[in-house]
This record gives sequence, C-alpha cells and structure tokens, in this order.
Amino acid sequence: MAAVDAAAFTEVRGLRRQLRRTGVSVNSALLYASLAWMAIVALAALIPGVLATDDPTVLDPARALQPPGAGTLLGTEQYGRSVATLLVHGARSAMVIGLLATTFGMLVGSVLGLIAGYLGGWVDMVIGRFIDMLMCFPGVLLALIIAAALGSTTTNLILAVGIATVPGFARVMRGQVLTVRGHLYVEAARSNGFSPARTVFRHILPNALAPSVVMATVSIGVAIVVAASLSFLGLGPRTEVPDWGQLLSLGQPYLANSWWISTFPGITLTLTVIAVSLLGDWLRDRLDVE
Amino acid sequence: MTTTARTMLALTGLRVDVDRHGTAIPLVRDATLQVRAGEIVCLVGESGSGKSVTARTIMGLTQLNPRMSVGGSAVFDGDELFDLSAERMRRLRGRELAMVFQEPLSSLDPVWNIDSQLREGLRRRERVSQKAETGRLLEALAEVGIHDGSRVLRSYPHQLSGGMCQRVMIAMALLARPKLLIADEPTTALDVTIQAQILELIDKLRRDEDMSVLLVTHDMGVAADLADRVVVMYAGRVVEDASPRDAFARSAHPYTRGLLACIPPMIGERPEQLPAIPGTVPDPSNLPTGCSYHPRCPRASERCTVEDPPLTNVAGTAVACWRPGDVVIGEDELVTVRGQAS
Amino acid sequence: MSVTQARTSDQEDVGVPDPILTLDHVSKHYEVRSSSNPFVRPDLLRAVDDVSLAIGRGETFGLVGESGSGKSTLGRVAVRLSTPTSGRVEFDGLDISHLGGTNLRRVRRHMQVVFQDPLGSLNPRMDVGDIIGEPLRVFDKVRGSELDDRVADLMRAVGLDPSRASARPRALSGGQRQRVGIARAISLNPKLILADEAVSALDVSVQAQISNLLVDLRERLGLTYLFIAHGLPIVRQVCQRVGVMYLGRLMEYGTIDDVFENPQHPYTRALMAASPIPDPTVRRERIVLHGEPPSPLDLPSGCRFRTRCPMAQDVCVDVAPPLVQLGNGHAAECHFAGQLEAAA
Repeated sequence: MAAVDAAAFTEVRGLRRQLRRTGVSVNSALLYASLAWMAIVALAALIPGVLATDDPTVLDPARALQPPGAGTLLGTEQYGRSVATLLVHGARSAMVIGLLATTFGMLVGSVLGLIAGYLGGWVDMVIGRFIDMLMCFPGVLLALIIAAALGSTTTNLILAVGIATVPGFARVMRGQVLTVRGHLYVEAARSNGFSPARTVFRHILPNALAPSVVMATVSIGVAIVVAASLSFLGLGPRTEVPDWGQLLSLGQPYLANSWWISTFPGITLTLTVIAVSLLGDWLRDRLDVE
Repeated sequence: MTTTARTMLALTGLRVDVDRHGTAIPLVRDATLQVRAGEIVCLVGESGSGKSVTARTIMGLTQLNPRMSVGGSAVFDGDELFDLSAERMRRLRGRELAMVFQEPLSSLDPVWNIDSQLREGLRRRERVSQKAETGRLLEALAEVGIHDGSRVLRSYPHQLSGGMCQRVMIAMALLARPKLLIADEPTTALDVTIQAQILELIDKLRRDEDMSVLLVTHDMGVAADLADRVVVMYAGRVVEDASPRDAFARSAHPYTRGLLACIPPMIGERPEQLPAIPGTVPDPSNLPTGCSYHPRCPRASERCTVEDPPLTNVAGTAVACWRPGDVVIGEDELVTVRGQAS
Repeated sequence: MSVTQARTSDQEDVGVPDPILTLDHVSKHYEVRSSSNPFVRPDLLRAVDDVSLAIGRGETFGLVGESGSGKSTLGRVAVRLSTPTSGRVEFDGLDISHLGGTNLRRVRRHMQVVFQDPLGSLNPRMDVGDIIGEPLRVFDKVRGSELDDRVADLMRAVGLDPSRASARPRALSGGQRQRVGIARAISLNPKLILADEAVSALDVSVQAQISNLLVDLRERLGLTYLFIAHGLPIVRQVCQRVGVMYLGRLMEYGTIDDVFENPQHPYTRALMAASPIPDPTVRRERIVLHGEPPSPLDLPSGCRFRTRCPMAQDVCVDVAPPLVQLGNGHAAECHFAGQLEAAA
C-alpha cells in the first residue's frame, strides 16, 4: 500500500535526522578540529606576534627559497621571508575581508530581501530583476569586475566581495519572509493593529533570520576565497605584507622547484573554508533550519 | 454484536516506549483489546491517549523508528505479529491488514496519478491482465461511491477533494480485501456531510465483506454511530472496554463520563456552563502516581493516588478504576469548571 | 440576547436594535487563474456573495458551514483583515469598509481575533508575558511593573497561572495556548472578538473549558463575539443567534432555538442530521446529502444548494430563492422556507 510505504519512508527519514542530531562522534571530532583551527586563525589575526616572532617586512635575500624543515617551519619565499610568518600575518587581512564583506552582503541582501518579500508587487519585481542581473555573473567574476572598476584598496575589495554575496542573502531572506509572513502570528499582529514596522521587526524578522545567519558562516569562507582570488590576480590592496592570495601568486613562478610557497597558503585557505562551513553545518543543526 | 465470531485481532498488554535522551517514555502502557471478525471496534480518547500509536503499532509502523520499543502481544488471525519477520509483515500489510490515515491528501503520493497508485497496490496482491486490472480498479472505486471512476483514475491527488481522496484511500485498502482495516481518524479532516458518507461506506463494507474494523476516533458521536464495541484510552492505557450501550448510558469509568458530559447537547436544555473535565491530559514523561486520571477525577480516593487500578472485567465491561460507577451520569457528580487553569 | 429576540418580524432587513457590527450586501470575490495562459480571463471565485447580517452588542453570533462555505472569509472581512469587494462593513456606527493605514489600526484595538491554531498564532520567539503584554505596551504605553501587573491580571482572568509568564508557547498545552490567545485578545478591552474556529482544534474536554471561558468573559467584560465553527453542538452551546453558510451565501439565520428546533432550509437540516450524536440508541438515516459541494468557480444556476438538495424542484434551477422572513428575526433563503415541518 502506497500510504504505508510513504509512512515507512517518513520514518526512515526521521531516523536519519535523528542520527544527525544525536551527533556521531566523527562529527563532533570534526567540529572540535574546526573550532581549534578557527581559534588559531583568529589569534593570528588579532595578535600575530604570538605565533610568529620574526618581522614579516624584513627582506633577507640570503635566506631566499629555503625548503620547509631546516630553520623555517614552512620554508621561505623568494625574498627570504618565512612562509609561516607571512601566513600568520596574512590572517588578519583574510578575516577582515571575510567578515566585513559578509556583513555588508548580509545587511544589503537581507534588507533587499525583506523589502521584496514583505511589500511584494512591483517592488518585489524590481528588486527581483536587479538580483537576477547580479546573479547572471558568477560571484568571482562579479567581484572581479567591481574590483577592477573601483581600483584596488582594501575597502574596495570588501565592497566587491560583499556585493557578490548580496544576491544569495537577498534570495534566502525573501523566501523566509514569504514563509513567515503567511504564519498566523503575523496575521495576529496585524489584527492587533500593530504598525507595519513593528510587525516586520518584532514578528517577521526574528523568525526569518536563522537561515541567513547560517548562510553567513558559509559566506565567510566563500568571501575569503574570492578575496584571495582577486589578490592572486593582482586586484588586491598593495600592502607591504602579502595576504594569502598574493602569497599564492608570489609562489606561482617557483612552483616547479619551490612548491612550498604556493602550497601552504592553498592548504591554509582550504582548511579555513572547510572549518567555517563545518561550523555553519553545526549552527544550522542548532538553529534547526531545514 | 457477534460475540461468537472468531477473534481477528487480540492485543494483550501492548506497551510502546519512546526513548528520549536515554529515558523510556511510555506512549502506550497497557493496551488490551479484541476485534472479532466483522466487528467495528472504536478506539476513543483525546490527543495523547496513545490511540493512534496503538493503531500504528499493529501495522508495524512505530517499530520502524529505532527509538521506539514495543512490548506485549498482538495476535492477528492466529499469528503473533511481533514475531513475524519484516518480510512477512510487509506482505501482510496491504493484503490482510490495511490502514487508512487521517490526512487523505498527504497519504497519497502527489507525483503519481490515482491510476498508478491503485494499480501498484493491486499488483502487490495479484497479477492479472492490464484490462482486467482497470476493471478491478473501476469496480473498487464504484464500491466506495465513485461513479466517474475513469476521470478519477486520471486525476492527481491535488485535483481531488479531501472526501474524494479518502474514498480513494479506502478503495486502495479494499483492493487488498483485508481482513482487518485500521482507520486512524478517517473522517476528522472532512466535513460532516462527507463524514456521514464515509462512515456509511465503512459500515457497509463491514456488513458486505465481513471485514473487521479498528476505528480510531476522538469523536464520541462517531463511536456511538458505528461501534460494536467501544474502547476508551487515557494516558496510554485502556480504561474502559464496553458495549456502546454500556459505554454511553452506564459508563463505568469516570473519564468516559467526563468525556460524554462535556459534549454540548443538540436537543433540550442548554447548560449555562459545560461540565468540563478540569486540567489536561498528563505528559507521558510525567505521569501522576497511581491512577493517571486521579488529579482530574471527581471520584478519586486516597487509594487512587497510589495504586494504578488493573483492567477488571465486570459483567461484559472491562474497566480500570477503583471506584467504577454504575449510575447514569448526574450533573452533580461532575465538577463545573469556570475557566479554571488547565 | 433578549433584545434580539424581542424585535418584531415585520422589519425587512436583518437589523437588530443596537448593532455593533453590520454587514450590508458584503461580497468578497477573488480572481483565480486556472490556466497559465495570460490571455484567458481568470475565473471569479465568489468566496462571499452578497451577505447581509447584523450582530447586536453583547451577543454571540455563530457562523456555521462546511469548508468552502466562506464563513472564515466573511469573518476576516468583518474585522477588516480583508477588504470587501463590494458592500459595506459598519463597526460601532463607523463605516470601516475601506478604511486603511492608521485609521484602520486605531479601530482594530476594538475588534480582536482568536484564531483556530493556538500555537501558530503565537510568535514562537516571544514568551507568554510578552505576547499578552504587547498590545498594552504598543497602544497604551504601559511599562514596567504596571505592565507586569496587568499581564498577571489578564492571565488570571483566562485561568492561567501568572508564574507561567516566562514560558514559551511551545511549552504549553493546547488549551493553555488558546488561553494565551484569548488573554491577548481581551488585553485592550475590545468590543468585538472574532473567534475563528477558536475551539475547533481542541480536544473535547479542553473545548468545554475554553467555551466556558469565552461565555464567562462575555458576561464579565460585555464582549460581543462573532463565533465561527463547523461543529453545530458547540455553536448551540455558546451562541444566541446563528447563521448557516453554504458556498458563499447565508442560507439561514435566526435565534438558536428557532434554527435548531425549526430549521427552514434543507441544508440546515442536512447539517444537523449529519452531526454525530453521542447516543448509540439513536439510529438515524446516516447519509443525508449525496455527492460533494459544486466548485465555487462554477456555481449552479438558481439556488446554489439545488445540486445536493433532496427537495429540489424545477423552480430551484431557474430562480434564485428569495430570503423568506419567518418572524422573530428568523429567515431562510429557500423557495420552500416556512413550509418545512418543525423538526422533532
């Protein structure tokens, strides 16, 4: 009987969710590893001196292109600076850009999504078309165009990466608002005679926010990668200390002989993105977002 | 009532626990009941009484959830259901045992039309030619009062009304010619005029096919209309098992009386306030000591607060109460609650 | 209410002496696109079609009907959660049919709603005290300990323990949630409460508690209710007058005694006959109506009940039935109204 099978199916799905929630030990090990990694990255961003004692601005051609192991942990680049030190000092730029770009994208995107979802009608249509237009370009390409147009400063990089994440946030928020707006308690607020502003900020927004928060964690990872890509292509800010993307590109000509210059920044980026998205998964389960 | 007919289903001391963070929470504590061939037994109770869990356990559905553990015995037509292999159980479902759910629309798969869903059910039972199949489907639909069967077969669930979907669900159950139909609140989501039609249909199938029915309902009116036997559950236990006449006119358990008393009358004097049962159904994870009804019971004595009464048979009525009543409901016996805390 | 019953029958309208809510030829139509082709004209769904009724101050008016009858739509139009397509909605002497913005919000504090789904109508991220106190805070600017006291009073008034003020709706039982909804609705001393299937989803024992509470509050606070339900027994218990809807029209209305003891519309009779009675000694013809209601997008000519009516004649196909006044404010929209024998 189809109905029975359907019921059995729901049961099995319920079971799977249950397993996910009760948390198998592999998951919690990964979670703790992610937390530990992000703690290190955060420490590097806040007080790099604790992790790397030597000055990243001092060039020493005599120590150029030393392999990992002897003397330096991760080897040195072509100007003799320690790759490990540069990675530690590059963390700040990565985190600042990741966090600020995501904050910008989330704010702008969520506001657009909220307005579109709540007002509907032609406003929704105009915002929707605008978002569609942004979405026509892949995120990296969009950020690239914007960064190229604005010129390479840290602020512009943040703007470029942030704008690239706007469409995602706008869509998620709009969808959530549409769902929550249909809930009875919103109707109840309306029947109580509350103002639209109160209805939106007290009753709709708090109930629509969770998926955007989850998305933000994932988005931080994406933003770090996009920012690194732009830096790699030379569209990042010109700074004395190279960020992770610049370090990647510094190592590019030496890839055949001195593989460590590019490889370690690559691994650092990958680990950071994985850690952030695992934390996002955990947060999603905690906030019970479907 | 056909007391001499053979027993189709016998539940004895059925127990269902759900594991919540390591503690076993009893959803059904002691469900004992029989359904005889050709009999309609109505399992009544409020939400949280365990009546739906009981029904789903008979079908082997609660057991699919690893957090549920089932104890006691369920003998169906001579076979102990809880000893059957998963494969045997699966074969039993949809053949000798069929179930109809409360939400007709969500019990049908939205992506297939009625034709393919019914055909799938039929093919599990027997293989006949395509043409004969279609004939059987139309026949089954006609049996449940759908006369434009070919249109309905082409339809998708969302194109049909709730009553129509419920008919299709029943037709699907009937294609298997089950010995026992378990109907879990089959008319709760339907309008009263449609409910009347579905109840008539179930009654007719019982008469014509000698099918046994276990009908789960919260509506005492539905039970009064259809039941050969009324089984009342409260907080996971069967508290009363009686013939309809006894259950309604001479309820032995104070809970049954309370339930009946709070239904507003359709004729005669209207009471100023309804004699409501105070309080609410207890949470299964936090059951009162003794008889779980005692905090709400107007007849509760000292003993009721410490000792859980066993289900005892007295003159054809089984009742789990230390102080069963045998008088017709008197209003003075019931507490009138004026908006008291629940 | 005695005032309603005392009125004479020669009045042609549905007027009651002191109406707090008057619906005058109210319709609510929706356009429904059944085809994705933009050039096909959308169908017209007549959810409410030309309904007039008046509700007297202090009475409870019940509105019954099956799903699709338009009773909930009518309720929403009555408290202006929805704008009527045509007709007039008058609340306490004020035409509110097309009121909007601040003016509408000002009226709303006098007409509150209690919804069917108590959990769904409570914001899951607010606690009970915040939910009940919100209207007081917003409209009357009540703050601090005064607000706490008022919330505690309201909670006691609906039979909730004030110590549960910090509980989330999810932690409450169904009956308690509905009490929270009622406390919120009465917090601003409204004149009218729309109870939209407010007791329908509750277990019978809880349903009795909540309907007792509603009756109690009506008497204590002088409330008026528009009480929408699909169960007839509960309407008979809590209401003074009742209207029966079918496919967007008010088929019959009158005092509870008149309508329940002497229904003059075949549909009212069918509804009553189909309503299960908890008495196994009553054996009745179970099926009173065959088939299903027709689609509201394609209404029958003449009387819209004729396709299922056991009494339908030729005239019912051709001529829409008149509203027949039967005295004492009792009226039925049927060619044969007044000719049906009194029910047993």
